[in-house]
Amino acid sequence: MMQHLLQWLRMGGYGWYVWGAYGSVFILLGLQWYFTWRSTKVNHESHS
Amino acid sequence: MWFLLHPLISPKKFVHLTNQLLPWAILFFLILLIYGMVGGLWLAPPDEVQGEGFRIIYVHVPCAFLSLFVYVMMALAAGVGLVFQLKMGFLVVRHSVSMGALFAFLALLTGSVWGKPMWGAWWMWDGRLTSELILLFLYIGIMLFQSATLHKRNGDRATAILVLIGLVDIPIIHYSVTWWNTLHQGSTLNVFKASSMDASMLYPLLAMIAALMLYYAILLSIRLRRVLLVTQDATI
Repeated sequence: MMQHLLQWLRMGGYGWYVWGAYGSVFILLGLQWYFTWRSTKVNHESHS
Repeated sequence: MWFLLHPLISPKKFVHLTNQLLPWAILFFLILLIYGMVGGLWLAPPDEVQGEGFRIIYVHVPCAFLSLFVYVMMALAAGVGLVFQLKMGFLVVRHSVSMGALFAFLALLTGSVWGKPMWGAWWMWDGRLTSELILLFLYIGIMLFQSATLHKRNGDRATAILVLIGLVDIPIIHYSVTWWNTLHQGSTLNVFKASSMDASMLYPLLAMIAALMLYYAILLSIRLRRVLLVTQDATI
């Protein structure tokens, strides 16, 4: 089971590239979502 | 046409509509994202030539598509804002730019990460990559222009004109792989032709594109609601 997981994570030798690409996309899009959501909260609080 | 657009243009109706639609949009976004991720990283078989490295396509193509899609949406909104003098049009432009810039940056970044193991280089000055880089500079230019204009009304109009001028880059990006001899592969998806990809590879890709389109729509709605609630005092 563990070996299968590690094999999948290695992505046939392209692991660093594949996970690097996915990681950068999800981190940056996640940060954008978080800051949009946070600014809404701040505005709602200042508005009320 | 006016009847269809009115709920989106009237601030109070827009807030009311997004109150009802946002939870559903977030739910569909998560479903599509999970399906696209599982399908792309797990269920789709490895590519015959590129092996497992091809899986970068499930983030690269959606980001590249969205970088163009957001710009076309901005140009449409800019056109509507200029022709009908609608504030909502200018607001859509103002709050889309940073998202478009991020999608263009991510398309270049993931393309570069994909290019290194496949082409042996992080960057090539070929037609597709260069025209996408110009799109990123366009987005950054529009953001700088927006922050530099002191008179908001004139600034919005000038930004809208700038967005419409920059629209010329969109067909250049799209057709760059056919116009020039390029290292970049041809278009992965074509609405006029059946895809050469197998369904097990294609459907997760379409799901990821749809998920990022929903991501853009959700964030844009949240940003527009925030502005409308603060400036127009529309009640929830």
